[in-house]
Amino acid sequence: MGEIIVNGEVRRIDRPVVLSEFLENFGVGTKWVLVERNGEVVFREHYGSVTVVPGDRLEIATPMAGG
Amino acid sequence: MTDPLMIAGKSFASRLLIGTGKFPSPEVMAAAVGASGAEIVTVSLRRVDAGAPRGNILDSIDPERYLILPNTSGARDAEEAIRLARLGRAGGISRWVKLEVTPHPHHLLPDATETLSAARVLVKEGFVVLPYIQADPILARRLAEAGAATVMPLGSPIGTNRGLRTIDSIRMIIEESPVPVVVDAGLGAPSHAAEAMELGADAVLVNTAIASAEDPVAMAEAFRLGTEAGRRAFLAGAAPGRDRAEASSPLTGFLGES
Repeated sequence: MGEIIVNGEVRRIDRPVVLSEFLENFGVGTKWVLVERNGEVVFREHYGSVTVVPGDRLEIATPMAGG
Repeated sequence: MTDPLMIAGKSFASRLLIGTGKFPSPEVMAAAVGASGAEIVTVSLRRVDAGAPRGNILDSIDPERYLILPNTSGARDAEEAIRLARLGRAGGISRWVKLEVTPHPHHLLPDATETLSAARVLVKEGFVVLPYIQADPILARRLAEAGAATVMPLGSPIGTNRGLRTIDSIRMIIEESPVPVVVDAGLGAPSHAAEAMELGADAVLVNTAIASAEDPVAMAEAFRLGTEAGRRAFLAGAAPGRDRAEASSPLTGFLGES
């Protein structure tokens, strides 16, 4: 259906997909996962209602070791 | 709790904050965090790759038990730091943030003007901001005025283990700061932590010296003890130094006196 950019890399999606489902398919789940969509943070409460559509630019992050 | 550390209205029994970077394994990291007695634990925020292993650092450090303090490491300017802070809060990690803006990977020294402008924005947005700074008393004052919850001056550059190279400036910050002073970065040995606490620092933040020790768990405990010893010494009030010797034993009643 179209392309999106995830963490700087182009990926294809077949249809608009709810963010939580996208994150499951992306293989990271939703626990401790942080998302920015088109430059705006997505609040955790909205992972189940925001839809990823072609043209979207996502940043997907998580807490990691660090000082 | 006697003598609690108060930050942004929250009280902590421990005055040692610990970072989670550079540990040999998540298990050792978790054990070291436990041995340190720390209640505030820092993490970084980074991109996660497709299909990355599901295990997360927060599976090893219970966020119900510890205050997770996301840092803005990697940020080169205020905008990047603000972005990371917002990401951490929206994703449910914390509204507390260790603000660090370090444009130059060579020395990782903090950018004062970018840090101050990011702090102003984040405080307005309701974040609890703990900025990592050069040991600059004027900057510390400006950040406190901007609403920072603490100031975190560096002892020496991140990861160098060189101790309190900035001691004179840190002393000034401690004397003047209206917010808690957390000495962060460069503390390489428990004696350095003790020294900072003896000066009157409210807390210390340690990562590399614990994580890179041969036995990180034992070193975490050593830092816990060093931090506590320094704090107790500060509260006890150190006797002043002198240029000349002063006998501890009586100077009369020697044997064989005539």
